Amino acid sequence: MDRQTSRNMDVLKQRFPDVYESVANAPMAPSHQLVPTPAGVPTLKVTTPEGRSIHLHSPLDPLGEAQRIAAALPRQHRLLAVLGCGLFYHVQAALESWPVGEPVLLVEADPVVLRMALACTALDGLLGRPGLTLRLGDGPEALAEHLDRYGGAEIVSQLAVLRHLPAAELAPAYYRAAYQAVVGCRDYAECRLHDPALASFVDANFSGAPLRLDTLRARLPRGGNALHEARDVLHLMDALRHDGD
Amino acid sequence: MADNAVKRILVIRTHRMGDILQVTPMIRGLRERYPDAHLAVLVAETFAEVLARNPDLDEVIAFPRVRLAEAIRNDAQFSWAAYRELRELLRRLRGSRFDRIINRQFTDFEAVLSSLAGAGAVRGKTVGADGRFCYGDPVTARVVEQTRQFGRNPALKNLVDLSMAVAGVSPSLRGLVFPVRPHVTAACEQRLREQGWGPNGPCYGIQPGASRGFKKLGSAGLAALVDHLVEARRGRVLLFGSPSERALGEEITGRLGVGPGAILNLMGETTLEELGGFLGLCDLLITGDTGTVHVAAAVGTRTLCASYGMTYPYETAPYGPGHLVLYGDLPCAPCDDPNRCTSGMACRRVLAPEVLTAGVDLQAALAAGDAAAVARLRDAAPLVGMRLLHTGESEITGDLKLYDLQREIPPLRAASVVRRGPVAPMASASHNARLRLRGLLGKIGGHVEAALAGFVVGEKETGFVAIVPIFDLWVQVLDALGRFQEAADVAPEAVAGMAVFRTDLLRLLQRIERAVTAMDLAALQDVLSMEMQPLLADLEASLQAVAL
Repeated sequence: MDRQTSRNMDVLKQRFPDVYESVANAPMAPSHQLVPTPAGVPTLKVTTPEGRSIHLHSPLDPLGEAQRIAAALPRQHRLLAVLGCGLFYHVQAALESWPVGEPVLLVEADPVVLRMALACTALDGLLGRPGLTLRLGDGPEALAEHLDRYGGAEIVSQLAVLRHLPAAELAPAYYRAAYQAVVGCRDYAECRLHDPALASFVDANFSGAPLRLDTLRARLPRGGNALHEARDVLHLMDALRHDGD
Repeated sequence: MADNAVKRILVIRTHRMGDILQVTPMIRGLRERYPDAHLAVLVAETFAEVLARNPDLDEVIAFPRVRLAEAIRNDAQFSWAAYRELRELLRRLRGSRFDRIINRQFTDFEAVLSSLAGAGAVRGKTVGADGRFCYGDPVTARVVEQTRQFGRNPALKNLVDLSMAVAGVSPSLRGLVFPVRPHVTAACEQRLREQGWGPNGPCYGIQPGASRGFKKLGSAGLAALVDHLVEARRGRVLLFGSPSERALGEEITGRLGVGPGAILNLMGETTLEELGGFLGLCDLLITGDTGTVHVAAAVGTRTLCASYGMTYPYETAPYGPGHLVLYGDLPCAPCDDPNRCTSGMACRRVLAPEVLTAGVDLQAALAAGDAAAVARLRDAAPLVGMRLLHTGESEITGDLKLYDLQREIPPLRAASVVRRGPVAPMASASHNARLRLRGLLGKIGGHVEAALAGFVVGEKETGFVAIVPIFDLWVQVLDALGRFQEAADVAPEAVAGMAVFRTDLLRLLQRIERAVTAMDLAALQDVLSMEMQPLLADLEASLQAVAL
């Protein structure tokens, strides 16, 4: 293990010990290959079980591509979730303009990808950054719990999501579920701010239980002005769901 | 409600391109009847482009209908995102305080929305006080009841005319509205020139695909049709369609006996406006009951429309005189569900190559005013047993009338209907722009009055707030002035006069903005009362005086 990798692993062990365990035990797989690019930094090529090759970053200019991805990220948010880390180029680019200390959630599905990133990129500074959390292979519920820890609805409602599309291509089911989980948290947080009566009702009646349109609509009390608008919106949702056109 | 009490109207027609185009004459009628009212349309964002340049509208409210429906249907979990977006839509509609909603959609979602939006009155399908679906106007209620009793649309009224009856309007120009800007048409012409196509010989458009299976022409008979258009009629052919249909176009061109120079596959290569531009350059469009057939009708191009299955030409035939609809004359037509057909889809005979080629020849005879040729073709083998519906105009009501050529051949005039290029929309462009300008100026005048009234009673803040919307209105005025000046039928001196007004208005707006920013009440009062009001009055008088 070279010095850079060692420094990366030390910081990882210290900040995210459970992630460290998974990464340290991940076997190096021939399906994952670092490939040099003309820009001087490598990209990561992953061959899927079906024999398809996916480059997680541009095979020509990974850093330029990362800058473009970061530039498209919306500003004016207070919480950032990155779904798919790859070799972290786009994460580093996004965090260049992200205030230090503001919460950031990094999500990666594949321990081998993470291990290769730690082996080829200096990430100790990034991993030691205050406010940053790295999760490996967490399910939707665990991701939602992490977001809840960042604070109240005011923060979570201002979540920006950066989806790394090549990663989503590599593990589509995982990243789709992760995306729905974090966006669901954001939208529910937004509801807490703008529909506090409905949020209180949901908290009180559906804690831990799956929330469905039918059950919510059926159990929402008929009286009470505070829930009047919510009833109307649920009525609209029901009509749209049954709309055959 | 008296006409002058109607200040804000919402039209709901959210999806299907052709159906949206079919409400544009009603919108024009509303604009003429309520020139000062704020006129908005609610539409699915996929189709907002259809109305983007409609000169009669003040506002197009687009929402992601398909995405929301998918989120609600597919999520095992409750979709908070869909909840939030629908809540915002509902709040926006309620905040807009519409006096009247005209819902031209028959789906449950739009009916519920129309009932919840807080409007004073709803025409069309809505939800009554008892929570049941109902129809908020006598016309829709009567049509629905008659359909229930006697079958589909027994009054044989085209949806365009039905919409106008529901809204209680009768516009001076009844055509569909889909403006194509001159530079877009010029670019389309250039594309054809690059293809080496000159002005000689007819240009045919074909759209083989459609959003729904029972509206498609398909590819089977089209190669023979294209051969006929190129070889027998010495024409050139443009293929239209969506990006996903491009392979279908390549399949058709691959089967052709004609050289590649006679056909241009534009499938997936045009924007909606460019589609209108190319259609305006065609002499004839051949297609099924698609949105494109209505775009062609809007830009003044004749169509040959093969109608079968669930489609019913008495409702949806291309609007305007001079179109020809081929319709299978079967007792089961129009059917309720093609998937349960027990007659082997005999209605699809309209798609047979020999029927389509005979239809092209018949349409050419109709356009040439050749009654003898019409009679001969009508009685020839391919078209026997087919209902041949030729569109015209009722002399009594002005509504669309379908002449069944097997029963009667109406009086024909050579090229009575058909123009080459987008004549219909452009002829009314200055009229529309003038109406729109007057409406906007009325609104600006109202804000100026409200501001001055606020200042008089000492409500300084109210006065300043009242003046802010004129900056948004100004953007619309610029747009309307531009349209007015671009219109081909506006005299040069009127164009020059409008340019002076434009400069004066802009100068005044800059002064108003400075006064608002500085909260300089005295300066604002001066510029509003001493300069803005007289200028608006002058402009209004000039618009009335302009010889159009």
